[in-house]
Amino acid sequence: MRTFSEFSRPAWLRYGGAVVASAAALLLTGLFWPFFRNIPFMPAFLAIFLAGWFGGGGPSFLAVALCGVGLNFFFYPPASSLWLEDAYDVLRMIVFLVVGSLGSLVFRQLWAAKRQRAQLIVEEEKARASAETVAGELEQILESITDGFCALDRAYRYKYVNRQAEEILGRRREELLGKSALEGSPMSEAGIGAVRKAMDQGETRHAQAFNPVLERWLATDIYPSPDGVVVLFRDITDRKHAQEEIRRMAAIVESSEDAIVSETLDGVITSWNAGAQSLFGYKAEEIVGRPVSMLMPRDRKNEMQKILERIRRGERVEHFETVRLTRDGGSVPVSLSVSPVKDESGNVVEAAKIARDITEQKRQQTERERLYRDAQEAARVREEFLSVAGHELRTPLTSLQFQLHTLRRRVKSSEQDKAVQLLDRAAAQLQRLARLTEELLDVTRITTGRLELELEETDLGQILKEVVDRQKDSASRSGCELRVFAPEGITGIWDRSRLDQVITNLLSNAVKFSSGKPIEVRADLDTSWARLTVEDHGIGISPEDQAKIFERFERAVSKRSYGGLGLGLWITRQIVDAHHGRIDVTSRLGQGSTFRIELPLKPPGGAFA
Amino acid sequence: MRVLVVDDDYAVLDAFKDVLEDEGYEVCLAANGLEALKELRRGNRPCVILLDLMMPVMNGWEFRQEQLQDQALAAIPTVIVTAHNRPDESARELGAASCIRKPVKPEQLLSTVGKYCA
Repeated sequence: MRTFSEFSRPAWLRYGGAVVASAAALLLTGLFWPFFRNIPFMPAFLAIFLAGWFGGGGPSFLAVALCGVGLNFFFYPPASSLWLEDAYDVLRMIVFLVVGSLGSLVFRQLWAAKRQRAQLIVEEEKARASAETVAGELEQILESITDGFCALDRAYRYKYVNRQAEEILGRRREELLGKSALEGSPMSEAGIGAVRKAMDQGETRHAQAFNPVLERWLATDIYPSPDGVVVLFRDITDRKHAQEEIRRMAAIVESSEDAIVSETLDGVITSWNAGAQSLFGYKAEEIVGRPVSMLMPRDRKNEMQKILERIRRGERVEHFETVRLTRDGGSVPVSLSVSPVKDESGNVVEAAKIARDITEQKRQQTERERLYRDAQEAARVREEFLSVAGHELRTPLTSLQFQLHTLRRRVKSSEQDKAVQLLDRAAAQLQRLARLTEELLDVTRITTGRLELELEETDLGQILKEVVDRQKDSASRSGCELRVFAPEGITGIWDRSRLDQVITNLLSNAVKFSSGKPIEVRADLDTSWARLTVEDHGIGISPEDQAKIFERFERAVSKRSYGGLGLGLWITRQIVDAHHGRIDVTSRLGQGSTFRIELPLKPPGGAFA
Repeated sequence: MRVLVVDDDYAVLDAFKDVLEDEGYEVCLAANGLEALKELRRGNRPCVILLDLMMPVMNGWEFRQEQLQDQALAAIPTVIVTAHNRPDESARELGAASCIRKPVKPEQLLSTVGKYCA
């Protein structure tokens, strides 16, 4: 700001100046009196002029007074007196005082005018400075706001573009200023339309649109201004995405059949989806803001504390099965999964809970348990029945065998050969009936998974001998010779009666299909395995039949030619399997068959299953 | 040489009796454990007892318990003769001399009895 020095001079300086100037004028007049005798007021007028110029009206009047008094006192007779003798001198003095005063008045007016002008200049400068300040502040504001800001004139030309607008539009302001916003502009069509409307109708417009040029979502506010429009806009892409994400999540939550509920760490419900409504019966407006404990049965209230404690520690609770109350007072079994909800700084602020109705699961589980119990009960009943049936079938077979035995003895002593022969046949049939009964009982027992072994130290050679002895009669009747090759001392931990059954089965099969040719039975010993082969030279088994003869109810021969239930080899294999052994067959049609069995001498792992 | 046969099935009792008597044994019969105990306590000591397990009044297991508690009877060899599915197991459980599963052949029964009544 400019300063005006004359107005800042203090009064004492201005009036002091007048005193000095007056003294100097009187001194000058005195010193050069001969020169100033005729014009004694000349130096005084100079002093008045200087005092007026330097100090204004007041000092000028002072100089008039001082000079008038000084001249009168020192230079006009009588000397050293303020009295004037000469009338002419009085007149001159009056003229001097009048002219001096008029001059002072002029200086007073001059100073007043100068002072006014200076005041105006100062005020104008002040106004200009403050206008500059406002403009600068406005620009600062426009540059610092987070919105993009553009001003357009009536021809749609950019007049102002702020820094944020540069960033959002991806252009430098130099590229935009003075150019039309309608052509080659990064504005979207929707944006241009809104600007046109604002301009034409002088109305404020708001728009939210996706800008395909920038590939961003922009929210735009357009305000008419006296010489065009101003446009404020901001990038809301992230917000839009977040909103979309929130809408998507909300849609998922709403469409979920599971109840999805959030609650504060004090157990106050804060949100409630449609699934929760259909599971528990409460509407969101009925339950949001109320304690979740109202859903808990009396005996499970402390569950919530335990769950919320874990959530506070940031842990999850998964698939926690419990019971919750519904609006109508019923209870529903649910599986709960609860997760902590964290704020931006990672503090747990809420618990998000998913409750799944497991009524159906529970019902199925109960049903499965019931079916299992039924099945167990059925198995027990069957086992009991088998036990009774076995007992009931075996008892008459036993007495029948004994009665035939006694009858045969007695008939034989009376030497009725034919009757003895008939009794022998009856005994053989009875024997067959007994074997079939055992097979039937065995197959039922094995099918129910209960082939149990009675393991003991067993001599394979001895069993072989017993079986061969029993089969001798039927073999010789079929006209085939039994040749046995077995070293002594093949012993292992086996089920004696089951092994007897295996060998009996194989040998009676061999006899049945031997066509009168010899049968060779061999036993030998490996380090940990016993091996037994039964070889016949009879009708043989076709390759396709070999694959299935160990199956239940399968037979390699026509049931019209050969009897039996088709169970013998199946039972044999079950027994061998139970001993962890192996059984196989090699055979050629018309050439005979070889059955091979291998049994471990000891049960692997110390026990058979 | 006396053999005591204990079985609730009269057909079995009779059939055993015939076969054993034909071989020259003296045979006593009992329809259950209680009758068997009475027979034994009458002082007719057999060389072997053939014992069925499933019987009314007093079954085989109960009979064995009584027999083993009686000093005079405990030592008599007892062979389990049963149509039960697991005779060996039962025999071990009852501390019997041996066991035979029905249906049993006469020869097998005779050879077993022969072992104890030489």
